Amino acid sequence: MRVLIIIPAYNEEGNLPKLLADIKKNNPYFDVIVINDCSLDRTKEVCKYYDSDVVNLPVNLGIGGAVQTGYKYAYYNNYDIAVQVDGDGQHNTKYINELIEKLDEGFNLCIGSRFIVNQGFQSTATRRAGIRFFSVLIKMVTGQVVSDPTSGFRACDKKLIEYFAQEYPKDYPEPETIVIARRNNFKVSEVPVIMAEREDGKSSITSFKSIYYMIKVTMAILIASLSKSNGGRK
Amino acid sequence: MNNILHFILIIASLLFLGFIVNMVRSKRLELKYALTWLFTSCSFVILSLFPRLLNFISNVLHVKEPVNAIFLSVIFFLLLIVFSLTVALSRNAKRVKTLAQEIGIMKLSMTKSEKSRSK
Repeated sequence: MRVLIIIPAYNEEGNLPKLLADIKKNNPYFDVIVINDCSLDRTKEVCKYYDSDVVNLPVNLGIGGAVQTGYKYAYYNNYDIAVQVDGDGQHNTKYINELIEKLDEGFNLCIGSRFIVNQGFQSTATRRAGIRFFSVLIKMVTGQVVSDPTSGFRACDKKLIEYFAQEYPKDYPEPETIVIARRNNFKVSEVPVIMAEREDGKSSITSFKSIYYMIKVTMAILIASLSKSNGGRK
Repeated sequence: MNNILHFILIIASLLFLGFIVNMVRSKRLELKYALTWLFTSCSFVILSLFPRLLNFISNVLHVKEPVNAIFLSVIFFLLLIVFSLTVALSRNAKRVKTLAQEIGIMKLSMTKSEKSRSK
């Protein structure tokens, strides 16, 4: 079974070396692709130095476009499983095997959730409230229980790779993709993980943008829940 | 309406139509996106040639002042144009995204095959 680890990275020169070393240690048999979303720092050189495969996007596409590039790469190269890991070092790669085991049980999408055992980095109270709101909203429109809908630590099986290679939301995609997956009858599950606080750099969602984020994602979830299931059309 | 004003309006709307047609002719404006503009400028020409049409339109729409009917129709055309632009922009954004992704993946496979050749 071929597994690809997708790492979307924007200005992550400080976090990538440790992440790539961790993967080499914890998951030596998996292929890694870094999607360098036109970073302004030395992300490209860091990937080259650590001899990691890297897609250097010619223009900045945002997180959704970068992650989708990874899914396209996985689709073109016929991978069975794609695992998404944030480039900021929040996600501990030793949990990847647990995500994959869940897919073996017949799920199409498995999300690493930090709110099942409630250990490790839990984010601020306001963010947790926002995440809780999305959980409730997703439960309402799809019936799916997801405790950590904003988690970007997730694994997809082959069918979902094919779907995401064609359709993937542009910005702030995490909660929306859950709804899209459910609308298209993919099975979604969660496993508990422990996340760390990001080590270097800033989160893409600053307090200034958080209101826009809440509105945009709420709209995206509602609209995605109205969209027709299209079973992976081109 | 004042005769001179009428004359100016006719000239202006004809110039506007001529300008749009010329832009399309010299390929600086794609016909697809120019259609809304052509439609708009043609209706300007017709309205300036037959200002009585306006009275008729305002009667039909139950607008008291003909000038308000003008505003209404101009706003309608502007909305039409802006909306068609937003549609075109969304489509182009999606195309640019796909192209960027494919280029990125292609560049990687090129460096990979170069590497394996030089080994």
